[in-house]
Amino acid sequence: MYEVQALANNLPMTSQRENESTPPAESSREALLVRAVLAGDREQYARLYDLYARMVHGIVLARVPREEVDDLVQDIFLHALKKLHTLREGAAFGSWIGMIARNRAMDFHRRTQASVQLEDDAPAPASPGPLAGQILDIIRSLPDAYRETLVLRLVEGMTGPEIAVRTGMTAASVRVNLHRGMKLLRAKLGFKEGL
Amino acid sequence: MSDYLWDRSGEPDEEMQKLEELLAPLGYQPRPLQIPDSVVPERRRTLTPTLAIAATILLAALALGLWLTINRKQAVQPLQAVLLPAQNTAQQSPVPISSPEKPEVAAGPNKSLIPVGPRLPHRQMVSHRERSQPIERQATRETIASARAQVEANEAEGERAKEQLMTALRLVSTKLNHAQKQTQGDHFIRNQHKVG
Repeated sequence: MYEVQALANNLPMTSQRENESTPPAESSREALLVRAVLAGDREQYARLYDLYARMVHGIVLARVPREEVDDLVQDIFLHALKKLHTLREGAAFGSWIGMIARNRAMDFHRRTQASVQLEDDAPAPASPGPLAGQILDIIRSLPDAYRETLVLRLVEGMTGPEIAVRTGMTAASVRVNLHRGMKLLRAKLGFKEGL
Repeated sequence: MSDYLWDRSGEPDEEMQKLEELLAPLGYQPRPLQIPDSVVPERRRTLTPTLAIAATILLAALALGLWLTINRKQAVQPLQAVLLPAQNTAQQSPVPISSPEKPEVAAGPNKSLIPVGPRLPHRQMVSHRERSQPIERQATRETIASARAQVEANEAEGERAKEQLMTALRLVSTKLNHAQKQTQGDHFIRNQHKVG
């Protein structure tokens, strides 16, 4: 257990916006962190949170109203910590927590739909006034794969290779999603003034 | 596709840069994760005790099936051996045959056990009966003796099967005890860990 912790501590931490050129090292780092957390070192989980909070935020933001996102991100990480023992391969932590985030976002919509049905007379929530909010709404109206990748790229500031490493998608898929998503977004923004 | 969209390399796309600037405030703002003390990663569950219990149940079910099969054989086999000739006799000879020398054969339903040939006219049948009586008695004795031997053999086989079953049940019980001890031991250690 101590060896694992020591190894995890010696690994250099890179910033989220750095270009990821060595995915296997990333994976082994995550595997070590997951093992350390399972061995009882909860502090290592904060490092996993630092690595993945931006990605989870992007995935949730692509589906859920902005004011709910921060709480949901915390909730997702706490849930993941409880269920960490079910993760068989620590290196797959990124795709695993990404899946949890998507499921949680779907659950949020189910709950919201149920509560909206109960309050028929309640006024509709106001749409975000600033232009950023409107553009985000347009991105959200795109198909699932495109909107998630575009939010990660344009809102969260991640690069294509970084998105591929974090989400567990292939670089080719991310490239295609970015390209097609951007094409759709440009077509939709063509009708927008102020850009 | 511009490289700027992929990894921000190459010539910057003005439209994209504008989009990035506009959307950046909506992005993730670092916020520390607050983990309550009650949130603890659950322990990995090992499948060994579960598998041991499942194997034990399977073994017990097999033993029970074996025992039932043997019991059924024991119950059916003697009846088949004795009753088949009796049915033929009942159909073929309307006259009951009695033998005073063997009351246990004549008294019960076994009195119709003697095998008799095909149905004959009355005269022929009587004479045939008179002629064949010693042979029939001999056949009856042999049938009874063989039936007894078979019953004894079946009983012995039953005893053997019972012993086998008892051994299997003892084995199953030992395995169950072992599995239970393993499970209890695991809880004990876990509790110790929690307290410590």
